[in-house]
Amino acid sequence: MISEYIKCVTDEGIEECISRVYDRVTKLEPKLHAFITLVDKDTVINNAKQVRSRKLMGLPVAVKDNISTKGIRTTCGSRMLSEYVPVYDATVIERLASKGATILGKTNMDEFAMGSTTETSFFGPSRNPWDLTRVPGGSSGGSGVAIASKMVEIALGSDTGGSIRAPASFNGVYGLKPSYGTVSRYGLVAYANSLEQIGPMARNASDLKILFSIISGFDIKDATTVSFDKKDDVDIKLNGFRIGILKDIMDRSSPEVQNVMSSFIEKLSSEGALIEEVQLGYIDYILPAYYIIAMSEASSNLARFDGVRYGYGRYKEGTWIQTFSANRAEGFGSEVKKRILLGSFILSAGYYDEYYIKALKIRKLVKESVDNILKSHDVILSPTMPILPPKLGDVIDDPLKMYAMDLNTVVANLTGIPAVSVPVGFYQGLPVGAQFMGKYLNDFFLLNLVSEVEKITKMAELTPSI
Amino acid sequence: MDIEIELIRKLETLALLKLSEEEENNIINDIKKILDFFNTIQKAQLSDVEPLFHPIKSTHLRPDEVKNGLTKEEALANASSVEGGYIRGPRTGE
Amino acid sequence: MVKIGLEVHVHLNTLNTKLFCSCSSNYEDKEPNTNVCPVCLGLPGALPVVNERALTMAVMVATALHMEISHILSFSRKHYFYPDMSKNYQITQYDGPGSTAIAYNGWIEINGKKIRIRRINIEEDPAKSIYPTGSILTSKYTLLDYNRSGIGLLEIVTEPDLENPKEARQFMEVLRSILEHLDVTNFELEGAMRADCNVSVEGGERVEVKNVGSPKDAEAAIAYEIARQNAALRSGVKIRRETRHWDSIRKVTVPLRSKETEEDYRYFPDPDLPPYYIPHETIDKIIKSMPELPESRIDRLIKQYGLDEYQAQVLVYQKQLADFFEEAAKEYKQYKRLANVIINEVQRRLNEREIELKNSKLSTEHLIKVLAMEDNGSISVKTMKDLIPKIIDGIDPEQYVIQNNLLIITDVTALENVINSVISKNIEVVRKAKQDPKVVDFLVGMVMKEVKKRANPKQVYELIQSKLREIS
Repeated sequence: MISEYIKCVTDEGIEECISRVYDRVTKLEPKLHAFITLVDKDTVINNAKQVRSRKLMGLPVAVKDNISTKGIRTTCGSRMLSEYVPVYDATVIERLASKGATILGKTNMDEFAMGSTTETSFFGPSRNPWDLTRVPGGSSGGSGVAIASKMVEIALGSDTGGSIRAPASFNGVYGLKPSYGTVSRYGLVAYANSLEQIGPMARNASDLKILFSIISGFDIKDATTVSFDKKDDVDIKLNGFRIGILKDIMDRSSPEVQNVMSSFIEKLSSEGALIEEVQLGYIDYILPAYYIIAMSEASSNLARFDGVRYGYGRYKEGTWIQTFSANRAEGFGSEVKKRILLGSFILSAGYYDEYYIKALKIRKLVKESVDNILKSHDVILSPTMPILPPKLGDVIDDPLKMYAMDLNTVVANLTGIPAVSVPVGFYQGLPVGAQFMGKYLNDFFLLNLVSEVEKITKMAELTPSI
Repeated sequence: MDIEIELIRKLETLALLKLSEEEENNIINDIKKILDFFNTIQKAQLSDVEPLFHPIKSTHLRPDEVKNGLTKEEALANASSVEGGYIRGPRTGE
Repeated sequence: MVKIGLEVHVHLNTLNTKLFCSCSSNYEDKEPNTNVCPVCLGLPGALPVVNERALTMAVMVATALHMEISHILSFSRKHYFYPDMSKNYQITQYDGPGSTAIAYNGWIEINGKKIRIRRINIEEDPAKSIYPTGSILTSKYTLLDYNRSGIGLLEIVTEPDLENPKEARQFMEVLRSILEHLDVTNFELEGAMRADCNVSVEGGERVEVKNVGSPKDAEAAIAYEIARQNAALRSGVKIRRETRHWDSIRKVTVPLRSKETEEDYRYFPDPDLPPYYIPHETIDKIIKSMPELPESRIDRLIKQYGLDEYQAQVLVYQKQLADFFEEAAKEYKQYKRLANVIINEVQRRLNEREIELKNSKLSTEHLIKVLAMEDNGSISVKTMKDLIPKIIDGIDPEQYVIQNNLLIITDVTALENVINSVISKNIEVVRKAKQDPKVVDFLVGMVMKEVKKRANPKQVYELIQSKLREIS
């Protein structure tokens, strides 16, 4: 907990507390591989000492490796950027620094955030601390692992189609995909601009909210941010709370997941929550529509990587057609290349209306559907993931199997509404998370709900013994 | 849809990604599968629906005021090849 | 039958900053890569945000060109790879689902003919390329300076309504004048205006000629291209669709790349820039506070100063001349004469020396002095004309006239001395003076020649007459 770190620093001093962090990291990293880059201990201790007067008193934070950190290597899990050191900080990093956080390191991720298991990383996968033979989820797998294994109290991830919530669910921790536009993307290496947000991850509801408060808010440097009311004054009571359960999503989840969810739903009912089954609709169209939009935007966003201003630039002789083609073919991994090719196809002349425009129409229908449900319900509930964490290597060779993992989570990205994953139980030792989705810009409402849920599940500060 | 190597090659040119023959052969099945998966949406009834391009309705503009940017060293810091303050790029003529 | 269409790009260099970032728009004379930021360098994670005054500029130009203005400001990505592209896509405007140009369907009038403007786009400029070991076609590699990357441009696209090179030049001159009057572009800066000229003859394929930097260049490039195409047709060669490059030194167009296959730019609305809904009040406010347009200024010069249409047009279409005229007209009230001298004498001399009025040392004060001296008979017409190049160099005309003895001689004694001298050298002619009145004119001519025209011919004539009467 953040408050535990603050107490430690107050009682024992910065050097002692941060040294303990490094002891733990050193012990666990060989097994877990949560980090791509670790800042060295003395630097972090010095940074922390300089900001101890501020709110977080030098709290070390883990940051997903697609968020720009000045002077600290930022690879996006790719060979393309394996030596790239940014010369500027993302807005969220500036905001964290202004509150006195320090960066412990950059966490492992699927290459350019394209994946749901952290297995497409150029630097090798991370491992689920609850079962080292299984994936930690993705693409923010490293951040999820760092939180669950208590290397850090809070971490930043990014979520394009579930990339914060999947690792949150698979690691038994809390993760929020904020409402689109509430957290600046300035400094987030773009995968799919109209779908993604940077978001907080933590082991309890209170820390989750603290981190969200710090990073969120209008940013003049990001034309897709909005001003929103950060007033946190809504009191949530589960008694009488109206919850809509997505039946068509539940039905497509594995029996193990449904099993754990049922127990959770019972708990909610016994607190007086009013639970009703609802249909989302368009269930066969949601995933293809999501991937069409994501891959199109990705193919465009990744065009800039040609080895000239930065990035893998091994090939220099020849025309731009020759050098760019060679640098990009070698710099990118195969999942990324696949998505770039497909994205180029979708945007190309003759196919744009057939795929891209149609996908945007499905997006509109899904938005209308969730807005409708939220007219008569306070939140929407579903399992975060349709399955338990798979074994390493299980899904990575079959793209459709991998994409299918995202069914429950992409809805929030398509529509922009906030979605949070909370740990609600275990199945044979493996964590299961439930996902709450709320009205657009009602993130504090959602976070306060999470506090109430935490009280009844008593699932805060979960961590395995490794 | 009949996916031939020709389509893959055309996309390689469009996206400037030069795949090896082996990669092309490996990738073609996945691409076929995924395109079939995309084609599912052709079954949807969409004639009366407006596309939703973006989750937010409108954006803000920026005042026309100069702010400090990067130093020259910062601008060149990550370039793989520089010369006399310029960033070196490939040639443009055949 | 020739068809010419222009795509004119002008720098929005009167903005303080670039189009999508807060770097200065003044990049001239800066060391390479010292005017950049993460956005215009295309660094991973950087995001564009639109300069609000770019919208103002676009609305003003659209209004001046009688165009329909879009109610949303939206941008699209145009994808192509090239060494000078910081993101390998250009943020521009496109007419498609979810996106629109800022304005459509206008016109500019040239010689009573309406040249239709199809659309205006707002877009960004790429980096500047140097070809260290040759040219764009031969250099082994390219050197890139991103100081210019991200500068705002307006692209103004015409229908192929122009029919000859001269019309194209006139079109660009009028357009330039409009942009100067609106203070949208400063044409003194390098690269302020570039045009792509699309030329087709005899209903054939159109050829795009790039790298045309000025109205004069446009006239020359298009003339060359028309001749080239006609020559090709005569020898049975078919014109294919292609892109050529205007070499302004060798004065020829050379092939750049074949456009047989259309590039697939994969346009789609930029997801980093959701549409901006332009409030009505904003457009009204911009239009109300627009500077005076050339059309209006021409009308006003005619009404206010009594100039004729030709005079007014020539002055206004070279804004500096009109500004100079109106400044001088505050003190000097013979407006038509002032206009004539500016157009026929000042302009001519500036052209000879290939300098702009504002780069010369010409002042309204000095010009007025020159005109006043001729008005009161102190100098001759010839002297007035000869003084123009001097005042262009900033030389005080009154001092110069005195130092160089250019004042018209009015002193009767001095004149009579000259007359006597001429008469004594032309006794034979003088004898004929009684029979032939034209002899007097001849004598006047000789006297004027002697005094280098620094005399009033009327006065000389009368003095000679009275001298002749004396003699006989």
